[in-house]
Order: sequence, then C-alpha cells, then structure tokens
Amino acid sequence: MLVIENLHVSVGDKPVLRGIDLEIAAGEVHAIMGPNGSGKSTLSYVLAGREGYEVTAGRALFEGRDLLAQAPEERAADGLFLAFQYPVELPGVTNMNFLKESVNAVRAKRDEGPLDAMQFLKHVRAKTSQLAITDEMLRRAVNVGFSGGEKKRNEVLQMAVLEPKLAVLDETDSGLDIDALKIVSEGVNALRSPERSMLVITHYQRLLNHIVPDRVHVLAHGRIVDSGGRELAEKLEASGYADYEATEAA
Amino acid sequence: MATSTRNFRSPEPLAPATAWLGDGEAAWAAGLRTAARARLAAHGLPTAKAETWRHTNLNRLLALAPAPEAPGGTPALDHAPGLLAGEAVAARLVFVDGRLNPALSQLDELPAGLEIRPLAAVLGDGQAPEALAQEDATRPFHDLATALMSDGMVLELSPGTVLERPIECVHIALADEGAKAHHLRHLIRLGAESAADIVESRLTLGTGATLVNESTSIDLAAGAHLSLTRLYEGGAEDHGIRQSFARLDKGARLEAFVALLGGALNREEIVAEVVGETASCDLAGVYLLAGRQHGDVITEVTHAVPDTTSNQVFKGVLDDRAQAVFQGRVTVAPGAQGTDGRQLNKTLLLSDEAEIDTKPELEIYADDVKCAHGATTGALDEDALFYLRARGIPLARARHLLVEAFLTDALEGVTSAPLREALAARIQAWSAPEDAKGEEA
Repeated sequence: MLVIENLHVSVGDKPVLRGIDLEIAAGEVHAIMGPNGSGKSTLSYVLAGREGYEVTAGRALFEGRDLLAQAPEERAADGLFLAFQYPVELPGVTNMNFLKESVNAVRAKRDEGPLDAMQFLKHVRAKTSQLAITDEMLRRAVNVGFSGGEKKRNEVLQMAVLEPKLAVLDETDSGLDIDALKIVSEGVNALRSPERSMLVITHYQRLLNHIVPDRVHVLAHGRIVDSGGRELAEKLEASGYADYEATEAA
Repeated sequence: MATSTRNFRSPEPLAPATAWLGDGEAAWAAGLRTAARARLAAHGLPTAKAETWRHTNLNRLLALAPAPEAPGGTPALDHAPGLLAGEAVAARLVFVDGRLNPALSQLDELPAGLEIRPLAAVLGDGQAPEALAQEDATRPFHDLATALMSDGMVLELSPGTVLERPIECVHIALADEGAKAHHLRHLIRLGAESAADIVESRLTLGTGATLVNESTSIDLAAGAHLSLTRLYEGGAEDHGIRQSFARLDKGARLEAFVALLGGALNREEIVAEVVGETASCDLAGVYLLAGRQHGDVITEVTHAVPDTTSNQVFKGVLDDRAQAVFQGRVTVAPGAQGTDGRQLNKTLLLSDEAEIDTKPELEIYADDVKCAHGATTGALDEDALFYLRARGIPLARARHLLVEAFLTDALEGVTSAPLREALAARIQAWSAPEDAKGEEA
C-alpha cells in the first residue's frame, strides 16, 4: 500500500526527516511514536502534500505510484487521507457542503458521477451517529467554534465519508478526554478493514490501547530507531523516550 | 487644448458643447445647466489632490473623451435583463443609452400613491423640482450630470404609501462604436411613513467605451423606509460614476446595497445626512474586480442629531491587477449624543498585484457615542487551501469555495429572497473558476 524509502525532508535548511524507511501492507495498522520534534508531523504533512517541505532524497510510493509528485488533491482522490492534528477552521463553509464538495471531487477524479442530495445525505447519516455528530454540527461552519473533541470527531467523520485506502492519523488523540478518545477510537476501528491501511502517529501509548496497531515504530531525530509489535508501545510507556534521545546524543 | 495643472483639471474632454441639449425645456432647466457648467468650468474635474480621488486615475477616461449623443432613433433591443426579470414589479424603468425606453418599461397602472416621471419630461414643466437645484461644489461629476443630463427617474411616493412590490430600474448602455457618455439625474422622494424597494442594475452591451454618470437625490421624510439595491456590471472600457445624496428625516431608514462587478472605472459615492432623530442608515456592498478594473466606494455619513445609527459593511475581492478604494467617513456633529456608527471594510486579495486603498474615518464631535470602524486586508488562507485540497478538492475549486465563504455574509443585508438569490448567482458567476464555468454552462 505505502512504501517509503530513505526519505529525507528539510524545512528551510534544517533536515527534519533523515532517512525514513517504512512499508505498510494493505489492511495493516502501523503506529509511529516519538518525542516532540522528532519529525512525526512533518512525515504526515509530506505524505499529504503540504507546501514548505523539501524532499532532498528518497521516495514514497502509494500503490506503486510516486506519491510525492502528486498534488494534495490527487493524493486524496487516490485514497490517501490525513486526519489533521490541528483541523482548520473554515468560516463561511458549512460542514455539510465541505463534505459534499469533498466526496464529489474525489468521485469526479475517479470518473464517478456526483451523488445527488438524497444519496449524499444517506451516505453521511450512516456515519454520523456512531461519532455522536449532530445535524447541528453538520450545519455549522467547518470546525468553527468546535471543541477539541468535536474537531477530532469531525476529522474521523470526513475519513468515514471519504472511505480512504490509507489513513494517516496525526496525533488524533491530542486534546481529547477519555470519553472523546473512546468515541474517536471506535470510529476509527469501525473503518479497519483488510483493504484499508492506517498510519497512527502519536506521542502517547494510550491511543494504542484503543486502536491496536500491528506494528509500532519509534521515530527520533528524523529516523526510525526501533520497530516492533504492540508491546513496544507498552515498553515506551514505562521507559519513556529518554533511551532513544540519549542514543542520538551519544 | 485642455489646460491641466496640479490644481486644476479642465472639464473640456467630458463636457463638449451640446447645442441640442435643452430643446423643448423650460427656461429654469437651461438655467440649471448653464450654472452647473459655469461651476464646472471654475472648479474643473477632480485632480489627485482631491482626497477621495487620490487613488483614482481619470487619465484613461479623459483620453477616451466620451461624449453625449443627440437623441437618435430608438435602439433595437427587445428585452432588458435586469435583476428582477420575470418578477412582478410595481414599476419597471428601462433606460437605454441614458434615455427612458417606454416600450421596455412598465409605467402604466402604477400603484396608488406612486408617481414616476422621466426627468426629460419634468424638464419641460413650469416649475423646477427643488432637489434638482442641489449643488455640491466638492463633487464636479455632480455638476457634470446636471449640465449634461439627458434623462433620469423622478419618483415620488405619497405619505403612508407602502409598496408591496419593488420598483426596478435597468440601465443599458449600447457600446458599439466610439466613446459615448450618458449623464442622468434621479430624484427619489418618499413621503412620511412610506416605503419602497428600488432595485437597479446597470450593464453594457457591446465592446465600445462608455461613461455613465449619475447623480441621485434621495429625500426620506419622517418614518420613510427606502431599500435601494444597485448592481453594476461593466466591461473593460466601461466607466460608471455615481454620486447619491440622501437626507434622512426623523425615524427614516435607508438600506442601500451596492454590488460592483467590473468596469474600467466604477465609482459609488454615497453621501448621507441623518438629520432626524432615530433615523438609521445602513450601507453595504461588495466589489469584485479583476484584470485592470478599478472600483471606488466612497461614503460620507453625517449624524447631525442625537440617537441615530449607521452601519456600513463593504467587502471586496480583487484579482489580477485590479485596484479598489474604500473611503468611508462617519461624522458625528456636536450635540449628536447617542449616535451609534459602525463601519467595516474587508478585502481579499487574490493576486500580489491587486491593490486596495482603504481609509475608514471617524470624526466625532459629541462625547456620548458608540462608534467603531475597522479594515482588514488579506490573501486566501494557505492552511485553509491545503485543508480543502487534502480532502480532494482541486485548487481552483478550493479557491472558489474560500472566496464564496468570504462573501457569504455580505448579502445578509439584502432582505428580499429572490433578489438575494439573483445577486448570489452573479457573485457565484464572478468567482467560479474558468473550468467550472464551462461545466455549469
């Protein structure tokens, strides 16, 4: 599904990712953990195509295609989804309209016709109840005046509606209380399928109690310094990142 | 040879001799024209030293030297595409090339209490309407309109008359060859406790150059309510200059909305004097300009007495090398306690070469007032663009959605639903990406 080879990325003149290798097969859920400043968010933004990041070496293939050569909207249409750590507020754009524009843009790229109003409503309604998203939230401007939990639920709703092949979840647990974390995790788990892969980026192990990964990678100083099964996350919870940071300093 | 110095700009290019003007008019009309021409000759056209013209270049217009035309045959035009096309109206006035076209207009069976006459007919009357003699030495285009007026709307609503249907005015300039100018004066007078909606649209058919210069005098008696909506759609060689002078008596309400969509030079200047207690003046609008278009929104609201309110919200989107000017002044006279005056100007710049010169001003000579003003200017939010694109929405469409979102509350002041929809459609057409325009057609 996703193959990252020797990926080097700089922001300005500063190297942030310094040789990432990662392979995620269809249906797998991988977690990337790491301390602040390790390059976690940079990785998610580079995969989604945000400007301001310079790829100085390496490549990323999404279903065999050169991901990094594509515009952000092409990546999304091909089935890549980034759940933002800080969802953007869009005053004047209603949530419902945003979802509709998004779904129909992706469908157009795949040469599928737009959903009509009824079909679309049915499609969205099927996803909202599980995420405790009310009609009122759908009528409001995207993320404007939303609480932290509402914003993250909204991200998962977009993911559910767009049905991506690969979802990158960037610190989806940040700013969530226990109840919100549960709702969001259940929403994500409901989307797990043998055809859908996920890359869960997080600072804390607690999200991984809810979204149980197949593989866990530790990112420090722009490199993956350790990989393992879910038990690696538990080990990290106990020991912290100090070992990995010390390794780099040495 | 026209004389032009830093302090004086000759009106000659815009005010050629027009011997045919005045045929069949009363002596007082000739007198108004002569006096206006004399003032114009003395003061000249605005130079860059005039504060509200500092950023507005008249050179192109003066080089084109658009001239009024003697009345010819009735132009062949079988319909007038106004904002309310197809809707029931109290009256419809269609001006073609600066003259009322009776065939396209609908002026029979006016509701009781409503009187509308073309200015051209009024100029033959025994007596001059008082408002026609209004002078304003600081606005030379007003004098130009008086000196060269060909026609206009003279509207009077009797006290207590509340019109159920709007009055529509459509101004069409047929710009086939040369550079033509049309000068009009309009008089709108609403009696006490009367109410009217006036919906105006202006457009040019053809590719020639035009100047349409209009002055509107608005007199709202106690408790009168005027809703005035203006749409201007002009091409690359069209110049529209409008000045309006409104006077609001006790408890009167003026709600004006202007939409400037295009034009080489397009200027909306509104002067409102709030002279009656509890009167309110709401001015709002949008300016959407691209290419090398230039738009001016100039407002001057004076609160002369206590307990009056005014609110101004103007939003603009500028692309390419378009330039816009917003100058709004709110003056609170000594003793006008309890004034509530607000003013907001927001501009979205879609290109590095677009330019807005904004200058909201408050002049307050009373001590118990609530006044606020503000101006913001910015580009499209890059984070918002990326968010939309990350959800699969192509760049052009994402930009369009954000422009629409920026303008979303701009039409809030337009209370009529069909009118709001018609304006929204015009705005939508303006901001739609080129490829989407093709799909929608």
